[in-house]
Amino acid sequence: MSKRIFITGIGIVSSIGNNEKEVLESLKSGRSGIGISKTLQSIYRDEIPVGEVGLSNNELSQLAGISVNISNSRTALLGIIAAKEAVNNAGISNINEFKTGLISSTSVGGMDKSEIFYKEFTKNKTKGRLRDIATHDCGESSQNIAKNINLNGFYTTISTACSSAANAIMLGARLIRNGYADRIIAGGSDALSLFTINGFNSLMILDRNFCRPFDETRSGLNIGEGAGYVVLESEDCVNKTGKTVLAELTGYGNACDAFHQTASSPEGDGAYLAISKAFKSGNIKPEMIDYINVHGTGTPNNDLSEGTALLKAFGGKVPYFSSTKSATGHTLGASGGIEAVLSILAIRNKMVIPSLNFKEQMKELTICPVKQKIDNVEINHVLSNSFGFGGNNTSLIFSKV
Amino acid sequence: MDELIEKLKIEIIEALSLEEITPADIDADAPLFLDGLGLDSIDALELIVLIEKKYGYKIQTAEEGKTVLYSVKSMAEFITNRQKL
Amino acid sequence: MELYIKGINTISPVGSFDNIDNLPEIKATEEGLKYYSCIEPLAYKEIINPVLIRRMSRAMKIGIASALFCLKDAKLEMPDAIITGTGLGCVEDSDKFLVSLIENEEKMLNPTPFIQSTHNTISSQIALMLKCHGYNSTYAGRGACFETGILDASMLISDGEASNVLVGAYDELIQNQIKILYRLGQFRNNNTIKNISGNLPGEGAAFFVLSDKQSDTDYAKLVGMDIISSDNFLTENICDFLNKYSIELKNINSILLGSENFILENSKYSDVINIFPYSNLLWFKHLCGEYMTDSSFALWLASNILKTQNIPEKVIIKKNNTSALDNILIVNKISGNQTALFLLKK
Repeated sequence: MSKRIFITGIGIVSSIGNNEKEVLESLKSGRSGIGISKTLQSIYRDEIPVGEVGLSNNELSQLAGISVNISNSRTALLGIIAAKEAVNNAGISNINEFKTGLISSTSVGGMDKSEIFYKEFTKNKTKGRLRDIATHDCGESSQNIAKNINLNGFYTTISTACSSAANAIMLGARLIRNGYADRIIAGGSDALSLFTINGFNSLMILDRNFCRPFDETRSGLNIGEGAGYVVLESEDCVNKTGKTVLAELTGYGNACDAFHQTASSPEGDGAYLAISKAFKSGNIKPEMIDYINVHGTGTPNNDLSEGTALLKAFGGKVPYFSSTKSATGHTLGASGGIEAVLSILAIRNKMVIPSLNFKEQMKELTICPVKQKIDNVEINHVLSNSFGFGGNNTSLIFSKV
Repeated sequence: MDELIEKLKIEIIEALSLEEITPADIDADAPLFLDGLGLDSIDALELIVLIEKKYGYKIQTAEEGKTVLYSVKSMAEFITNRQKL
Repeated sequence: MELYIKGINTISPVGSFDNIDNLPEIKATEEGLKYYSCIEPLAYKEIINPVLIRRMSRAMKIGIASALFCLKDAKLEMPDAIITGTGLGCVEDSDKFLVSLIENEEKMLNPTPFIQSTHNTISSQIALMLKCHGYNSTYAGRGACFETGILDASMLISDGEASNVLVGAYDELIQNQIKILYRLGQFRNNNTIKNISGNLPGEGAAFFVLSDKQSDTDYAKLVGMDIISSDNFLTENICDFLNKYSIELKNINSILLGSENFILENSKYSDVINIFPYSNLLWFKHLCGEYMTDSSFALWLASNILKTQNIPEKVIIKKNNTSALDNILIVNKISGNQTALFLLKK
């Protein structure tokens, strides 16, 4: 029997709320965070809807409790806010009391600042404010978050595109099980940037309307931003502190689709493998899962591939499922962290979160997502899927304690 | 039309860095993807950019792209039809 | 951690292990900024499918070729897992996409550089080529990215999830980045001594096949690895680390330091060398330059030294013993204020 991994704290900032409480309110009222960006300096601003955190960088700095005079990337600011909330939520007063580490993830790190730098730099190689390029690498936000939660211990950064944060949570659990840490803060952060908006636009997979995961008429995703972190603790650690446990991480699995650099295989092989590994690692049977927080980006390719994998993994009897990206937008490297928090909120509030904008059943599938919130559901086990470019597929299972 | 087809072949080879292939190797009627030249969906997106950059015509959706980019000939037809408008 | 190194490869500024005593050529940008650059294989097409190679950037070619050469060296067709570490990933692609989105004012952008700028491009391309459906991960940015990859591999092996893991690192250097690094003051142009310096921007790829099974052809045994997060108690931490593996300080044959200079007095490694008076002092950054994943080059070098039982002349700073070459400790201060320790045995 492997050592148990408990979740004792959660933290979130996203387009549907700047903390756990606000996010829960939005989930209950079915509010979407997708709309026209207030801050983005893009020619597509009025055309491409996004899931934006409705605060300026200065406002985010204030919320993070740091000086507005220090130039931080938006990814770092979002990460600091959510990681701090998770640490406080776990009731940690001295973070270095146990062997604690941070596994943070991001897909583009400080790209929002790099864009500002490059505007000057491309014209003249001696121009551009250096502080705007000093946050370019993906590790900067992790180091910055570690500093702001006063962590002396180990930190590292995962960047496997849209499965990054799920991989961070999985690595955190494995480090604890192998005795390298007692406690890990794990999750991810990504800010909106011209780079990602134009990147996905060049791939022609951005919906000009609200995204419609698992709908016959779906035509792409909406990019979002935000951060989500969880505090993972060993059983020993929890016993010593006598802390409230929010949920347990019971299963995890990662597999590679090895089909295409950006597209998923039509049969969903990688997704099926990741889900199967998660079942096996947690000794959980498919029929035990009460709710699936799907990857569900709303692209024609993902939803067909993932749906096919679900039918196979659950032998046709697929439990309640929904894509919360319909409310938050696809937050890329942060999505696995944000959706971990949402999965835990579903368990704690006995609530199946709805998929927004779903109308028409997909022709190829026999299943459809939950359209309306369902209350008073005993949710014992949630499967959370996160799939990334390069066929990097990760599934996590969160369980009621 | 034939002139445009030959021009497109050269532009495709250049844009997609098909070093080992000459214009003569490309059959204008044959499918560019999978069985034909063995191009993939990323090449398709690059060809959409190529048509917009060199000829000024925008392919709006991936679905439209599939028809237009079926072969060199269908690309040439798309461009010619637009030029007539 | 008892990992046997089955196969290794590097594509680096120094080329092969036999070539080490011919120090790499120092190159310069048009403004005269000095840097190191990889000696690349002449025929990538012999190792990478030509159909796939046409869209690849240099980082992809370096990384993927090194990984495939490494598998060949280990005589392994299919690893159970693939893990990479990279500082900036395919930075040429990121740079290209950024420049083109600014210059073309967000219009008519070619998606290829965007796709390839994703940090896990190389780990997934290797998986795609091998049709490897196993565990796949990528660590990125400042801090211990390559080292976390090694730690991840060791856990996969000790948990019984994998038996052979392909783990490696890559970082390419591009012209815009060299200009930025010098402007940031991370490098200074005037500190080469007799044209030797470890304080120049560098690049490279290095890959390893790690396994729990011992055999006669292994390069070395990776006994332990640790990432020290603070400089305050570095020597204490090194002592604790060696204690854990029951090795006394005086029994460390050689230490391979991430020093940028061969003069160690008053350097950031002076405290470290003080506790190792009997160990040979070696360095490596004058062979590959400095980059976020240069620990991978050090691990490649140390593995070769142990296998061949030969310390190349040009890596020696000071010889302090003539005892049997049975172990090497790598101490490398990496970006993001962490120090990596690797303990290797014959």
